[in-house]
Amino acid sequence: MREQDLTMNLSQNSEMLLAVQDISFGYDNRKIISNINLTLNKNELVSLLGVSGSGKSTLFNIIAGLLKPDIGKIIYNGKDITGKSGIISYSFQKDLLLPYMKIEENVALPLLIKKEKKETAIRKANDMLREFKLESYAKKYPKELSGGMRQRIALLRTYLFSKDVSLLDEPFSALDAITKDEMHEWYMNMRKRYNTSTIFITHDVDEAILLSDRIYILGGKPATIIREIKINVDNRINNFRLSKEFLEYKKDILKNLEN
Amino acid sequence: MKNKTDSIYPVAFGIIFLAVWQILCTLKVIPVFLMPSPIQIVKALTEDFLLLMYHLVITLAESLIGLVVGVFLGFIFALLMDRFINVYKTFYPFVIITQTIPTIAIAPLLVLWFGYDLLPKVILIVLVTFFPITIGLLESFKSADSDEINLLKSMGASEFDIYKFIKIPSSMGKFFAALKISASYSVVGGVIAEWLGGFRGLGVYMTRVRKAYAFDKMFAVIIIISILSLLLLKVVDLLQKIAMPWEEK
Repeated sequence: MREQDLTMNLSQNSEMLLAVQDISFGYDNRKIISNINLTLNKNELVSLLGVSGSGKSTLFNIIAGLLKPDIGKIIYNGKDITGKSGIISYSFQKDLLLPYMKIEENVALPLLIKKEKKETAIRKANDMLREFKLESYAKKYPKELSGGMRQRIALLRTYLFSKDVSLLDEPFSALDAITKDEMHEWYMNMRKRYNTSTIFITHDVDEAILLSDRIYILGGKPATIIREIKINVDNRINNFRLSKEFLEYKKDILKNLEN
Repeated sequence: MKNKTDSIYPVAFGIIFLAVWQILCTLKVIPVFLMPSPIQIVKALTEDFLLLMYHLVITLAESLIGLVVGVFLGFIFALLMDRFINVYKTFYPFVIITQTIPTIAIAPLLVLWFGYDLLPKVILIVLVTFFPITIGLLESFKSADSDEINLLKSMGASEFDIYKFIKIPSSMGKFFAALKISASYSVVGGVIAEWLGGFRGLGVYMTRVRKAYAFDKMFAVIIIISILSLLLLKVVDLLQKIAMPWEEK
């Protein structure tokens, strides 16, 4: 085991963008998450890893301002944004493309909600689609697209809302293994371009190691953060998943998840 | 899959049905004064065609005005009841009660209160057409996808945005299903209102020919009413295709 993994707050030196402070939340007197503390630095991708039903999505709803925590604060850029929605972009497990809107309109949705002029919003959406070579889908409806393609469109919509920080809740979990690999590659390229600071929910250990700079492991009832692991890798593309390092990380994580 | 040969079955059945009917009438198995033959009905239809059209214009006008007002009110009711839970709690029972009142009983009262012209007919049509729209839309608004609503809220959407981008567009299918019911009610409602008082309209014509025991003309006007209803339904279908282009792909 690596000594450095055990120290908390590994990233004190970098510029902190978002902080989740002492968050607790419950329904009907049943605590779901307890005393959660985590930070997200600029340009960083942090994963929340935990088994299903461990309260990861609840935590996201709190960070996005859709739920108010019982205790605790969400600090973004030094300001308290607890319970305020419309600031942090949020992408859900389902792609949630609206079936009655064309792809360009779906991508433009966050801008339309920000009351941008329709033509401007559609133009920006098309610019983005072109940037990712998806312009041929602009005039199609979601049901004409495959699951992987729909998820790409949903991610573009997230980025059009905000390139500063985004929450992704298991965006690739509904895809088959091959499509998922393609999506990981595509997503890493996208991140290289925008460097959006991201918190990523997953229950897939491989995915977490592959994509993250840091991983928080969530566990217990009520859920707390039981471990923080920093992934120090320079090259993630070439055979990273088959390397010894990767397996070391995986062993470490699995051991923590079992407890 | 639907294909053209499928329509052979109902058409063949229709032709055989009419032929048997005609033969039974020609052979005088059915007394002519009780049941006119298909040929007699067609004759009555062509003879009275202009007169029927003269009455049809009025019935059509009543139906359309009543339907438009009814749909508009139905939409507003659904919107208010979905948006404000207290409006729902207060008025929902009364919305249901309006539908338990028999149309045929309230029509003569409406004639007494509002005279023999367009107004009482339009009111009756509004009463029967708003209901399917209100119920259909309300149910659809309430069952809107909560994940989609959360997505919009996370983008900072207002209540208005949620209606504009989710609740209203996702209700279009239900709305048009309800509109088809309302459209057919509107014609029948108009005719019933005309039975009970008026100077023009297919219902008035119907009352007159019935009193004269002109059964062939009675059947002729029934056919006209059916065609009118079918045309209205066709128009609704067309509107639906225009309003829901995503269903076509």
